[in-house]
Amino acid sequence: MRVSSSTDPITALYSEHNGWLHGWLRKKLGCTHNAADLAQDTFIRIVTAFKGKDDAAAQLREPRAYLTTVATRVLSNHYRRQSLEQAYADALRQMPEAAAPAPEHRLIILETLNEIDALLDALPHKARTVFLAAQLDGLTYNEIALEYGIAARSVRRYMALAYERCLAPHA
Amino acid sequence: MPGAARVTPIAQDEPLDPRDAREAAYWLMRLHPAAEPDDADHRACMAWRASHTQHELAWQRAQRFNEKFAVMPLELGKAALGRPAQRQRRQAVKTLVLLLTATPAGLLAYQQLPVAAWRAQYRTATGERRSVQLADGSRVHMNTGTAFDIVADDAQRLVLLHEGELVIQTALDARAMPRPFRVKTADGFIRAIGTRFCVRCSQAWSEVAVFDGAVEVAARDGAARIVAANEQLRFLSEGLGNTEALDGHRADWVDGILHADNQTLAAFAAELARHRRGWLRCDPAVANLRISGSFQLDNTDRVLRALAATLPVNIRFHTRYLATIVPA
Repeated sequence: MRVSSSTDPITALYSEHNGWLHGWLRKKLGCTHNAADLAQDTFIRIVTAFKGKDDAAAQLREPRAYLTTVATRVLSNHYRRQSLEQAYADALRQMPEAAAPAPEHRLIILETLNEIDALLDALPHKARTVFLAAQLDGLTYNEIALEYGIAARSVRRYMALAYERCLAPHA
Repeated sequence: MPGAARVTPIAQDEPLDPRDAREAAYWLMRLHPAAEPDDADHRACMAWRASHTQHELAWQRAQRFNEKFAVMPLELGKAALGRPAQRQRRQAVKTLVLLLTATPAGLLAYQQLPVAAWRAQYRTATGERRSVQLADGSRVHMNTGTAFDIVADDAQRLVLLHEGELVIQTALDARAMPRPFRVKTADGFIRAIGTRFCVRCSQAWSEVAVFDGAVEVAARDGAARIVAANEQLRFLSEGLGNTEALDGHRADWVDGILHADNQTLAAFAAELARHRRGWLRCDPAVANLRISGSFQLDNTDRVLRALAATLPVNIRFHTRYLATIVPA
């Protein structure tokens, strides 16, 4: 990096481009507070990714293109989480008070849901549907096959795929 | 951290070997209750686990993942994880914008998207029943698993029934120009003519039953018919069924009662299942047993126990959410 080769390359990346990234995110989000949070998240991801690989970080050729790529992922995760929270809040509101989880459990449940939702995010739509039908609707594989008009073999394949992604998300 | 005991994360954060993960995923799939596994499946899985320490570790990790689902309230899980994909939702919003500039019927097409049911103004959970009073004074009783919206403007009072069942007692419109009261289901329109009636919208069909007054039913294909008091009619978007005599117990659920009159056990179980969380199945071997009586909907477990006490059947609970009525 030009600034000074003695500085940690991530710090250099941050001080040089944070303002620009914040602006880029603000334009996408239309909100400056969220933009600051997500810029922060973006850099945290980068720090994690380059942990112990200062050389690789120092050799980033197009830092802004790289930042945009990571920030786009952070942004899409933000939207995913937002829509999950919205659906969760709606569902809570619609539940009879007696059936709803206690307030102190609501956040824990949301975090669990978020974790699962993130894992299932990259799954093909059909695999996700099948997986949720088995896990949450209590349908058998044969019933799922009938319900969605697919072969029982496909149901088993989707189930295995969904589990695999959940157990080894980065594989 | 000097001085502090280092805790080695036990396979918690370390990524699983992709091959172990794939194999563990395969066994999770095969041993899932939905796969209806038998003893041979369980034994084969045991053998796999025992064949390598890494297998056992992968299996333990897999179990921890499964436990996340076990502690989750099903309704919340379904609503949150089963929400429409973001892409679809953005599409829906785009469609809505287009439709709003087109005809009011277009708006209704949007309302029929699955998202509408979860976003509905009025909704009951599975097993819940309640009644609401609308702004015009009409009273609406909502049965289990029901979702509807109201569109009221100068021209109409319109109930958009997304799913479930309503008994509606319409009020006379106080306006100088009384507005028609209509209900829209996936299959068509029902126009009330000073009345008390029941509308049900299921996955497959819609049904209207009239207690007082009359309604006009119009299927989406245009076929229309008047249904008078003490009559009921099932209809699809492609047309109307036969007008039948009213089932006198049609609205018993408003008082929390499920009535059966020489009904097959299969049909009774299907009705009861609407009021229960999870899944209730009826073994074909007992599907044609007959049942009569009045049952309290507030406690469906008690209804199941009553079945076991009066018919040659047993109730088998596979999990908290999966019950089967089997021969005794």
